[in-house]
Amino acid sequence: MDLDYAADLDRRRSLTGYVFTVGSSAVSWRATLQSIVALSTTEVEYMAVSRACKELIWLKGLCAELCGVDSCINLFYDSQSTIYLTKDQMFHERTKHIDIKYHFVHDMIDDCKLKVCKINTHNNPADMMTKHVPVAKFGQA
Amino acid sequence: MPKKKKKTIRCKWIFKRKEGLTPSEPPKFKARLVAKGYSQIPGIDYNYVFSLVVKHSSIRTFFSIVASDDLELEQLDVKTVFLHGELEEDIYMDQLEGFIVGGKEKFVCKLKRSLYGLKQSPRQWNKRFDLFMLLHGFKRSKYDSCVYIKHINGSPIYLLLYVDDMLIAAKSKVEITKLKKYLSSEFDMKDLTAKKILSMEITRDGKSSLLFLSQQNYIKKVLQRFNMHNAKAVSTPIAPHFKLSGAQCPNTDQDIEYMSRVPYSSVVGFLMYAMVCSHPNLTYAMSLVSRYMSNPSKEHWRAAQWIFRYLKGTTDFCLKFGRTEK
Repeated sequence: MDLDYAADLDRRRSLTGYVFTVGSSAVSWRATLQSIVALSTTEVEYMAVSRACKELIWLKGLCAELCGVDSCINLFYDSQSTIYLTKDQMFHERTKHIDIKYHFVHDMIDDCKLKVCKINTHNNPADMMTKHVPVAKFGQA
Repeated sequence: MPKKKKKTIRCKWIFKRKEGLTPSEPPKFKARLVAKGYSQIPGIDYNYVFSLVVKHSSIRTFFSIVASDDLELEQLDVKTVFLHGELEEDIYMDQLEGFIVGGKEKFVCKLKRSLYGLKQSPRQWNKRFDLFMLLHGFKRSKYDSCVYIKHINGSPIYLLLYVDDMLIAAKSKVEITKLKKYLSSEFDMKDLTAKKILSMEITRDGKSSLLFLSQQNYIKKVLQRFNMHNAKAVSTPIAPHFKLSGAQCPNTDQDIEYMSRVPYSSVVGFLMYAMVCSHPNLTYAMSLVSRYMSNPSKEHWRAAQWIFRYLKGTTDFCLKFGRTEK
């Protein structure tokens, strides 16, 4: 998953994008403007994680029903700060205003339903959801 | 049945000429009776109209399982699908044009089954099919109500329903044939080789157990329709020189005049469908151009055309489903 901070020139909302793959093929993708204005990139990222989580719960359920595989899902992400934020339950000065609803990511991680992992920015396929991508990189995705 | 005080629904005949699949095949002529559903009154002639269809993500998840487990895939089509639904409301319809019974001109017909054009037809059909599937031991998925699963001796058989199109997959061909027999005993079915669903073409490579999903024909048709089939191809869906914003909306009379003739929203609609079905690479570009649906400008229109030019170059782009290499 990936995002673009304040991508909307009119209302300064941010853009979230994600791709989910089952096996090696993309099955679910989305690029949407977030409904509220975020204050920092970390905040946007955190909101994006929770947005992706919602889709993930559904997809995970479907997969479990169809093929009986119910394992922990890796959510790849290129931002270290968000990864730390999802792992850490501590209360920070700069993140205290983030709404409780976005903290349900913590719950998911505690239940071992998902794991947030680091992916190199250069290999992130969700880049194509949120920015102008040069041709060379497009080929990989 | 003699006419009561209740309002009747009018109907009409629709005639269609359908070209054969190959040039040598003669064209088919179809006549279909449709009810004028727009004259139905909510609360009296219909209550609920919501009907389910399968999600695109479910279809792709299904294909990825089909490819990785190397399942047999079959596609079926229900003929005159909406005529199977049963009506819960009392609906009266005028007599059909050309089939008016002599001496009983004032009589009307009471409908027992749903007709094309009635508001509740899709819902009633879905209900009937759902009942049938549950009766045959299938389980409806909790996550997508148009996905049905049944386990026979430990191996699953899947069925996906999209109004009248269904996809069936299982390990053994015998089970599929059995299911097909059940289905055709209840409904009028047409057997199709799994080649095309919702304008997506399915190609399978038997040796490497790969499955490809493409929209070549759909894109070609759309390009032709908007006269973009001779456009010069570009290599990215959107270029950085497009800085789209709401401030660019047309304000001179000339621009407003010009944009009123541009089919912006239908272009975005067509592109959106391609994106939803098989082109994840269009998502960013689409999220940009679809923000200005209500009042697009020339700049926005140019961006939409740019996406067309990108599609021109990647018409044969397809999604690959296969086994994960470990």
